[in-house]
Amino acid sequence: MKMITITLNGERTGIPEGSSVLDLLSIAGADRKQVAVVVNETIIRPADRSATTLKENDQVDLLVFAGGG
Amino acid sequence: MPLSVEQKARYARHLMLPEIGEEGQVKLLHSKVLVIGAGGLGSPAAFYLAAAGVGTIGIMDGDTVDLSNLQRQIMHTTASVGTLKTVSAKTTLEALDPSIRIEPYPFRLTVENAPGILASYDFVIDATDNFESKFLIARACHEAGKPWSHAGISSFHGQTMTVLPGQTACYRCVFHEDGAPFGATPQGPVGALPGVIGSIQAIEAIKYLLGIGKPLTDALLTFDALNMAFRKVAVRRDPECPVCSC
Repeated sequence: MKMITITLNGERTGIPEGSSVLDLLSIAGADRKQVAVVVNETIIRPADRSATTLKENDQVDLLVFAGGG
Repeated sequence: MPLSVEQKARYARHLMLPEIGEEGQVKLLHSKVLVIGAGGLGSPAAFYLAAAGVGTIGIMDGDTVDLSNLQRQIMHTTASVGTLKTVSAKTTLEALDPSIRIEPYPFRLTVENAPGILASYDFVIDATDNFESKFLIARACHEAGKPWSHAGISSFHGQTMTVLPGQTACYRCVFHEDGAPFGATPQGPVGALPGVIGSIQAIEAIKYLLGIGKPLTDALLTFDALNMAFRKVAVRRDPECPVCSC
């Protein structure tokens, strides 16, 4: 399986080529957590996660919902 | 009006900063900031705003002080357990500086009361502890055109961003209501965590009021206390945001 390298939350990470944002959430173990996903500064809406394919060198950030005060 | 002798002494450390000086201090004394939530985040935010000489500080919270609050909510004391947080906050802040005005709002922000209350303030601080309030503040500040600071904390991490309505990415651009864990039980947080994030909110308010520096806009600052790591994640406005694209 061909791999690509992305930056996930500031760290270089290898993932299978063709992975979607939804796939990445599963790989990162974040598919059951409430997170916002940012790819190259653009927020990926939940409905668009399966159709958004990640590319080499993409900058991906998973932002956790923090509701406390 | 020029500063009094007492004010010159009180704010001496501000007066020596070229970014503030007497002109900036007078500006702060004439400014109004609304702090929504008088808990973990609201305590340091309101405390530092009061110490800085922000002339009018609104404190909104419908709760009373509980003993379990005192591990992190530093505006309140053992003696204030059982009293309204707005009353406790007013007592504490007026003890720090009797010349500033503290406006208590001993109830929650609602769709109905938001426009009337927000109208008279220059800046709003979201120091609430639940998602319902955070999404409500995002919408209310956008509709009122009020700049504001979002923050949220949980266990050992926190996040904050500043929003200039209609100009920069808003909370709702980043976090979607259909993904929010409404009603989730809060985790922790570790006592000093809101001190870090709430203080950043106070600095953002002061910078905005003075028109100095670069605001924390179009970015979410995240803080991981266990690894002592800050990250500033750039975000763009969502052209389809149901709040700020309308």
